[in-house]
Amino acid sequence: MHISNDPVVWLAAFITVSFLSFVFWNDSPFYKYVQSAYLGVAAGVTVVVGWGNIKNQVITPLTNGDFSMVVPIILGCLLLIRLIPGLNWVARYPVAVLVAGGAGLGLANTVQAQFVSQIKTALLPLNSIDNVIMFVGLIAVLAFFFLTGRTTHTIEKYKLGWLTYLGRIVLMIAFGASFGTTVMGRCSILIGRLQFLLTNFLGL
Amino acid sequence: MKRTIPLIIAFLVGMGLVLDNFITFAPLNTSMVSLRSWLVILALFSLMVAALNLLMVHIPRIMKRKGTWSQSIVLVTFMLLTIISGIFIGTKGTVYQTLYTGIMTPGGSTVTALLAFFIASAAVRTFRARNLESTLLLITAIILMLSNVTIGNAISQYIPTIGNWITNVPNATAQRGLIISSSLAFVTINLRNILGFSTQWLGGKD
Amino acid sequence: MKKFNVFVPDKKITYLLLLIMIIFPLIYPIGIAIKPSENTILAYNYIEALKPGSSVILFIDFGLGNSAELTPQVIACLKHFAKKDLKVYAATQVPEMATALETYLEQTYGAAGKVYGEDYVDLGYFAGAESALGAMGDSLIAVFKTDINGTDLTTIPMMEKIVKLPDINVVFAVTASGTIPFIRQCNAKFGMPIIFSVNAVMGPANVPYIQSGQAVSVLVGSPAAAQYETIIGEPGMATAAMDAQSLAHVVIILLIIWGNIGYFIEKRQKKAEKNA
Repeated sequence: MHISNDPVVWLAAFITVSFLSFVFWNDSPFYKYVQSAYLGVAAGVTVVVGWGNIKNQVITPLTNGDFSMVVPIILGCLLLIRLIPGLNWVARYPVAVLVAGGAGLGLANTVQAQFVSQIKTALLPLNSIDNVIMFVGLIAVLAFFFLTGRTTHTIEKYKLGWLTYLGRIVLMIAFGASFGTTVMGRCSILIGRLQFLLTNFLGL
Repeated sequence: MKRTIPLIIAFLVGMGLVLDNFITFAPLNTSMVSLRSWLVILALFSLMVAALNLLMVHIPRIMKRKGTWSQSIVLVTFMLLTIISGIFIGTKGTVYQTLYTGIMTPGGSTVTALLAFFIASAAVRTFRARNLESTLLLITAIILMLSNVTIGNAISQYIPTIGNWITNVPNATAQRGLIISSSLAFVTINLRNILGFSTQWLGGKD
Repeated sequence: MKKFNVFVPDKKITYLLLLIMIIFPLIYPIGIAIKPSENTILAYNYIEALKPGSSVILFIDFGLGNSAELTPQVIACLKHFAKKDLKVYAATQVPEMATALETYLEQTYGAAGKVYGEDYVDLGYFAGAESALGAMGDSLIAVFKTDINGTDLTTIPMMEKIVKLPDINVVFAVTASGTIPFIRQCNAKFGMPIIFSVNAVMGPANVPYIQSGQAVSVLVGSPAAAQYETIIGEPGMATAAMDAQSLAHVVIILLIIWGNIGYFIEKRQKKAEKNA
């Protein structure tokens, strides 16, 4: 065992153990203050990186006589006015651009990317058991989503209870698969931290 | 004016971006190219709003000595220390690097690492084969857990094979259904936002 | 007083068991063989088939919370790209990863003796997520303007022929927040091939995109990273973690089965009491 003599590694180990202490000692004052320090640094890093980008993409071009970004700069400043009580409504103009911008960009390609492509892929020749399962399974899952809820009377009217039940079964298998991989993901992160403590800090 | 103009802006921006994909009309296409680059700058400003908002919540708490004000002192101190060292000394400076490597990196990773304990504990306490659906979920989860790690293949070569089949056939089927349904929901919600049927994003009563 | 149930151990006992089963193989590795999966081989073969000088844009879209899971994959793939003499354009949409991205490039391209500005460039942080991806489709320089060091992109040699996103050959997106923006803005719009590396939570949800051809491959979590390290012959952190992964999973599975045995015994006892 060769414990590190790097103060930064010691600090990182201290922070790691402080957060891990939550598991055994719950919300101790120790944990709370370390958490506040972490949140402060996280917010600070966001500001530093954001400021770097603003300097490179907004301030430097402006000082060099490039006024192509004047409109978004004005809108951005209106967004900052949101923080003044009573003038929150001013931020609606830039928020409108942001919300509609995200919506418009996504809308145009969603139908092709997620709807048409996936339906095309689902239209398989029914010449193998896997293909039959995938085709029938998809119809069952879509029936479950669209027919349960407000249109439950449709299930009773056309006796489609078996189809929605099949959809639920397929979904349960998918959720089981998701859970299985989620456990793996969470364990990976814990293993990563323990690797740091054992290798970088304790030198094992 | 406080509600109507933003709705008009949302309509023009949203429809402009959608139509840009289908219509070749030079003024529209050129203006949408500019608009897309404006969105990046706006996103930068919204980042700063979030950070400044944090200060506006915690500084009054410190001044009034209310609630968890001692924790707020720690938060604001470290935030200002990071900002000052990052902007005025530089991100390659010792102070910023120490804060990033010594506090930010381990803190961010360990907070998420705690979830491993909670997911394990929750699974052990609640995963029961009560009926057909929960039994299927349980069996599938166990097979996938084994097939995802090296010990699955060591126990039996069939475990990864079955795991792959589950992932590529029933799981893919269900996920495809989820993708199709969620895409319809996405289109509906965003069309409502653009056309002004949904005004939740406006906030406020005036 | 809480009733003691041998089939449902106290939470802290579960946590302790999990910790022991993870720490033990990290100190005393078992060395269970790692077998590359289909998706890992798909991704590897695709990169192998690229000609030297081809361009790859690397998007880092995960925070420090997921870095333990996804960093090994980034490192393994960057090492492979360096061996294949691919030109890498790296960017991140998570502010806290801007510093980490510099480290990834230094450890891989820098260590392999590649020249900054000719073989790789760090474009740094970009705000706006999907909006920025959409804007990159028009012009990369309009979104970034400078690299992470503040150098004007127009003066960087490898930016000469790359005007907009579709000029790049392959997208390598390492994401913990969603693959859909990349599918929409890169593949659906421009037909760009995408290799995804996602965290385990998102793994099963992205299988349909491989089947539809919208993604070349989806590498899921640290097992995929360990498999990739095995294929390229450079075992790293992910490989070292695999034994611990295995034992952690085994202990959780055994506890679940134990709990279910207790559940069925209790059910039978209650039924017997009811009939008596």
